[in-house]
Amino acid sequence: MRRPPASVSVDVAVSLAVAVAVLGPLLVGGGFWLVGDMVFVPRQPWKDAWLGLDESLPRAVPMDALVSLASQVLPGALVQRVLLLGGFLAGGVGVARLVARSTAARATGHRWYARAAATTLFCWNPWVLERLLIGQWAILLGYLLLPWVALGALRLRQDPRDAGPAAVALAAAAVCSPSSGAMAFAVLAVLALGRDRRTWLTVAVIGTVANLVWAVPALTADAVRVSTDGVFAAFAARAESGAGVVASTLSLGGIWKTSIVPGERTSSVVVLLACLLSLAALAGLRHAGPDRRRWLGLGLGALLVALVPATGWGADLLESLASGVPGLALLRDSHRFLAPFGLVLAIGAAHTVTHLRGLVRPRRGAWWSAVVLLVAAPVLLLPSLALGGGIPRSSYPQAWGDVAELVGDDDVTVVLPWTGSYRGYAWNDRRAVLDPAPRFLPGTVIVDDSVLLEDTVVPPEDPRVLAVAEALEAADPAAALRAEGVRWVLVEQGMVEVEVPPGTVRYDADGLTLVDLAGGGTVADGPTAVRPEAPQVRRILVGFGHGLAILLLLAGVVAILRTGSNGRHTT
Amino acid sequence: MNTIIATVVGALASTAVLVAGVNAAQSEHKPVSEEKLYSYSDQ
Repeated sequence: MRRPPASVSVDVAVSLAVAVAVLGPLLVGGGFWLVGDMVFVPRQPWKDAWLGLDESLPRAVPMDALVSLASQVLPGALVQRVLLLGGFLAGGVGVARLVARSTAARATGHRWYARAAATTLFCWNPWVLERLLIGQWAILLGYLLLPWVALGALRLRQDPRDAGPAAVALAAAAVCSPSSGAMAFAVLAVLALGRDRRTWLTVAVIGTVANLVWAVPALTADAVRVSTDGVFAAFAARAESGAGVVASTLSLGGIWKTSIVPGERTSSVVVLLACLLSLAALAGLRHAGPDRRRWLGLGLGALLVALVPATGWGADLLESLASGVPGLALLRDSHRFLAPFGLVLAIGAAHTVTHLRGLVRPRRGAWWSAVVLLVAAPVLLLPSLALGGGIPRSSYPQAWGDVAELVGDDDVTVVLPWTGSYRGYAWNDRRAVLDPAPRFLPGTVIVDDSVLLEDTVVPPEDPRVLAVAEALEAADPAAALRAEGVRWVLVEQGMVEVEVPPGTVRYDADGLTLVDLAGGGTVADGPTAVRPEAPQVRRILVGFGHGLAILLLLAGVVAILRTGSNGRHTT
Repeated sequence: MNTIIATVVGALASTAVLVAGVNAAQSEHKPVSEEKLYSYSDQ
């Protein structure tokens, strides 16, 4: 059995140290991290919706399908830990391997501390913390896969027949989220494309097929209303401190949700010092060999995409364009598209460290302190990321499991209060978290998916939500809900008072009340606005998209195995 | 030269540790208040 090279072991050790420092509290105890969009449940029942066959926008397709399958064999809490720990390890080791493989490395060599500088900057920065605190773990996972996309791209450019790693990396990234797939496609294109026409074709095929998993459900769900009014301005990157929005984004921060911004990022001094780190990393790209223009272009492109909606005219332009091209709504929350810039800075940091090491001479030994500072600076400038930014572990009250037992696979449940899809449960430290009911309960679960912001409301995008909202406003809401095929109303207590449609209370404990509407009349069992039947053509198209993506993944794995096998035979 | 380099690096590191550390220690999670119950998304 071959042992991994010592350099790989060091990279794994550094990545593991970073991962444990971030995820420590989650790894050592029970319960879940439940914050923002990060919702895991003990066992997530299978639904066609996880493949994008319902009427909602495919934001977590097909990641929800994978989590659901994994939670059939492993506890959901373990699935959460495996995904997050695996993501940080993949990101840390990936960026270190990318540095080791870079063209210039062959000439000058990057020692372990240069790779460590890349790992710390890539895995420990404001973008990572802010995405974690907003609960977008799948988008974070997509970010942590970017080094592998870049590695695949570099191999593809070197040899157009060597498409296996790029195919696997793209397929994995597209599984994470639509924006992750789109970013991975962009990184692949910038780093892989050259004069060779075959490479262009390969990149186009890989990027398109990998992204079919979410693109087909999105394009065929014609009933979905995509809201673009004011969303680009509402979700634009913004200043965290007096240093301004450019300084925030240049140092990988600037998320729209100011309430989760860590304390140190509100200090102009810290943000400006972080900018200094970014500039030092960008300066390092001068030593990145022939690829430096590609890296610089990729980084500046990401920075531009993140900043455009932050300008008034940029938000207006995007809004007017998105009214004709709804797909552009993907660009709302533009700060997430800063992700490739993090990768570029990590590569630059490694080169800067190697350059500084080269300055060490007799009587110039103090340059070592600059090397150490560059490796440690991301941690020093963002201590809040240690221990996961203070996210507490929470456990679901028994009531959630009890209610899930009562609801059938074919039932439709409406969740109250009808005030957006985020909740502040007392048992979860009143942190805003996406309602877990759609993932906890079997069957179709409808939650108001409007997004309530301080000064604006992003209206519902799911037509089923509009139908339920109308039913709740009817003179006899119970009858109206039954006519739409709704049997259950789940009331989550302890937040706001709600008017509950009359029905039989089947469960009432631990803050959950489950009302059965079936006792008051017949529940419609045919297709309704709330329970529409997916057209057969759509099912076929979505299935075809997923099938092609799986084929791409398998072909990539086989290609990697064959390349490895050939390599062993020839060496 | 060593002294200059070490001084600059030391100043940068100590400023980062001090300012970031103090600000991080002072920030704390604010639970969703009753009057903000309708705007969880912002919290």
